[in-house]
Amino acid sequence: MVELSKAEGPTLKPDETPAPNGAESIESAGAVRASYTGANIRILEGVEAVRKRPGMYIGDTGHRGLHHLVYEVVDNSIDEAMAGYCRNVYVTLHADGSVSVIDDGRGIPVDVHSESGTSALEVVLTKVHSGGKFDHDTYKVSGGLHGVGITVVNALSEWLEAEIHREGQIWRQEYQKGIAQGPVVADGAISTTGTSIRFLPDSEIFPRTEFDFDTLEKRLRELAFLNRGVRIVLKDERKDEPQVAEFFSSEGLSEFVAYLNRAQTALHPPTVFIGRDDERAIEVEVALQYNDSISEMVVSYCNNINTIEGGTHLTGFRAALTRTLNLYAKNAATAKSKDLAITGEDFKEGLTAIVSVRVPDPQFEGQTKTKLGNSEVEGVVTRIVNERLSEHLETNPAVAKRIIAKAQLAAEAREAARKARELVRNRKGVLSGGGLPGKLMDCTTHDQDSSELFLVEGDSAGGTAEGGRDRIHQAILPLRGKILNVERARLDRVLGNEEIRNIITAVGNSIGEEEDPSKRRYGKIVMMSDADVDGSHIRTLLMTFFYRQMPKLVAEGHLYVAQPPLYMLTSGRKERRYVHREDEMQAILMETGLAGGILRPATGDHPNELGGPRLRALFDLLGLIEQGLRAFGRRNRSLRDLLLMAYPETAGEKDPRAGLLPLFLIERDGVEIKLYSEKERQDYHAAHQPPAAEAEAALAAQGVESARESDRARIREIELHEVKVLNKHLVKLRDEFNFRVQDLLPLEVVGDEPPPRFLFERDGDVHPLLDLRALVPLVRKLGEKGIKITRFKGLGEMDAEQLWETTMDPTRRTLLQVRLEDAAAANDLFSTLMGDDVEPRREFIERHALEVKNLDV
Amino acid sequence: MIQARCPICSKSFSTPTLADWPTFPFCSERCRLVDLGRWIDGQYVVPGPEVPPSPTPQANGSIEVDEE
Repeated sequence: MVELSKAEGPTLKPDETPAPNGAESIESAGAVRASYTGANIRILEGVEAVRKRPGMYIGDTGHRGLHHLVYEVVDNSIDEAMAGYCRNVYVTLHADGSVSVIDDGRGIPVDVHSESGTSALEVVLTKVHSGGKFDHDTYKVSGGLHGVGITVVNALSEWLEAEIHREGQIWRQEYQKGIAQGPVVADGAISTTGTSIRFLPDSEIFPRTEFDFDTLEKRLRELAFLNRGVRIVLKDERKDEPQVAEFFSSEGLSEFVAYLNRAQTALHPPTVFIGRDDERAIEVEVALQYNDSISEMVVSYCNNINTIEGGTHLTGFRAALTRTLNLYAKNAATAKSKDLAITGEDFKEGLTAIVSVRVPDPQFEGQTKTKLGNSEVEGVVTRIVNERLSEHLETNPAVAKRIIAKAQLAAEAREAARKARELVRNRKGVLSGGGLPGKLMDCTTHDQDSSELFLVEGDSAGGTAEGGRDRIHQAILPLRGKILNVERARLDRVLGNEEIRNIITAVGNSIGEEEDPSKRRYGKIVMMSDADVDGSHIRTLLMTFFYRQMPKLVAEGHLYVAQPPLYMLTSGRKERRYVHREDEMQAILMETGLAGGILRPATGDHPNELGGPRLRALFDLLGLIEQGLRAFGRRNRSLRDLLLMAYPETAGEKDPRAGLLPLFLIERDGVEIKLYSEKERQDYHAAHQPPAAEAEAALAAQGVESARESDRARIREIELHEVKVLNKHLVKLRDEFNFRVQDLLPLEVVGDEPPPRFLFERDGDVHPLLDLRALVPLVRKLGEKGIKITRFKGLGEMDAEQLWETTMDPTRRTLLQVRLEDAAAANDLFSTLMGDDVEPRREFIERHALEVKNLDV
Repeated sequence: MIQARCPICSKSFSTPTLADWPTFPFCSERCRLVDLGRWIDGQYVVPGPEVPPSPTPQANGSIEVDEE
């Protein structure tokens, strides 16, 4: 017994046992032939009509029409599957150019109609518009796309073979160009059921008769999704290596929608609504899933037919989707989003949906007859989607939130586009100065390369810059960072609408996809703001704006940051010097303070005497040690106690630990043990292992208290993280300068003031130093002598001349060019500052504040 | 290759050059517009004054600081 299965190949094979009597269940072959003559003329008329005007039945005789032949036959199998009788459909492209469609349904009836004298099979294959139910059997043969059925396939085929397995028999009939070559004949017994239709498209009708695997694959996959539970196997035997594709979907549309979104990032799992209108026998199935793209893909089907032109089912779906989501959005609206009107268009962005309906008597309209016209369908779809969708949103608030947020972004974009257009209109409207901002103090030259635009923070600084500038080449645009109080403890700064417009128009670069840096009105765009944290925030804001809206301008290197000085140093008579950076200032103080100085021990027994570069190196090292020691401020120990924990110096062989601080402190029974490396710590713990478990158990048996318990209670371990770095500096101090840890502390003397350990000689003066640490403040103090230091807190504290000579004069200033990476970093920083999360923002500000504090050395 | 993350929707993308991605640093024109709209509306703010004043050398309080 041969089963119809994939393993056996998709052909209906005759049972091996010969039929007991092939003609028993059918009239004698001769009788059938006789009855054929009458019917033949009528059939010929139908077939001739189809062959004369194939386009009327299958659309065209091109690629689409050719493949439509296969769909017509497959549709019959699908119908049988939908009726619950068929599970597998095999479509095979044979080497001879023919195609076969085989299913394991009940098989098309072969018994003879008493009135017409022909078999049901022959009626199906030869009578145009014969689709419909066979009353006696309820075997439904659908009309396919154009309601023409497989009659058309038969008529347009060079030959067609039908093989039916039914009622224990194999039945065959052959056709040529739609004409039966004989009656249905029994050809052996078989226990399985099914229908096999194999045909070769007629090359007199179709200019090309070659089937395309991909085209069939696409449609068959679609059919598998639309009809869950049916397995469809497509096999191409035309090549040496047969190509096979199998389609099966147990979930149906939800898998289909996920498949359509396979290249996208979905916002939520697919959502499926299934409903039915019993009265009208309309079935509705909808699957939808939003993805993070902005394009929309909605496909609709009626009775498995892709309604490319849409129709009433789609209209119903769209109306319900917009209405339900809008209603939900309104109820869930936040204060910020309330004034944003979300429209139906906004809900289209990123939507992927499939609307599939089954309608008993579909009306197709439109150019390609792919638009569903049944008006009753719209209401049914709307009602079902409304109900199910609102229910779904209520029970899945997270999904709802994501969909609404997406639509809000779409609405915001629409609104933003309007505002951007308005901004451009306003610019043209304000005609004074060719539409340039009124606040712009333009330069006289129109030469792009040599001109500069200064964006200056604050109106008063703008005034100063105006007074100090080179009027021919330098333009000034003052920016007023509006100060807002946004219900937080902090005052926030923002660039207003006007500021943004002024920047865009003054730069002249235009923005967005039309951005064209060659159109910029100036060679350099220079941001000039205070050299403090506040000013750096404004710069961050501006850089973020340029990075986002004029990235090409930045990438081409036209954006700069001005470097106003932090300090003015005046020494002697009116000799001015400007310092732009904090570390530069420190270096100046140190250089001046150290110049010509010599450090020597206060008592003669110390071999060290330092000056010049060696002294300078020591000074730098002391600065680092100072930083390391400050980290200990948090530990509850005096500096002396800490430094005295250093490993003792031994006279003889030098221990590498000599003079270094411990990394771990272990307190055990009130005794402190110092450990100088991770290895020492491990060794310590190994040596003080509590007794092994067995030993402990033995002890316990003897009534001895667990030693482990008590040990754990008595041991306390502290790790001194700061020491790691500090020890590196101490090694240097020991090995390069031959100083000891003790040199960092004043001598201990009972009662009296301690005598100095060192002396610092400079300009003939001798300054006593209690310890090495005292050198740093002393040098700085000496450096400050004779210099008047003026600190500029902002641009406004300079006069026009000072601003010119320090910051604007091309021959003396320093400009920092902003690279795209710098601007990107500003953008990242800004995103942190701006984030909806208050926490990272607060953290950032605190960290930033801390860094500033650390500079206060 | 420039790696970027859209400032509006956080979608990541990469482009060989700036010119190959006309809406850089945004994933799409839509997100660029949303951003522009937020600039125009003054929705972008940075922390203003109240941040601690910038560094002042205070060693021994002997540096003359011009407060004005």
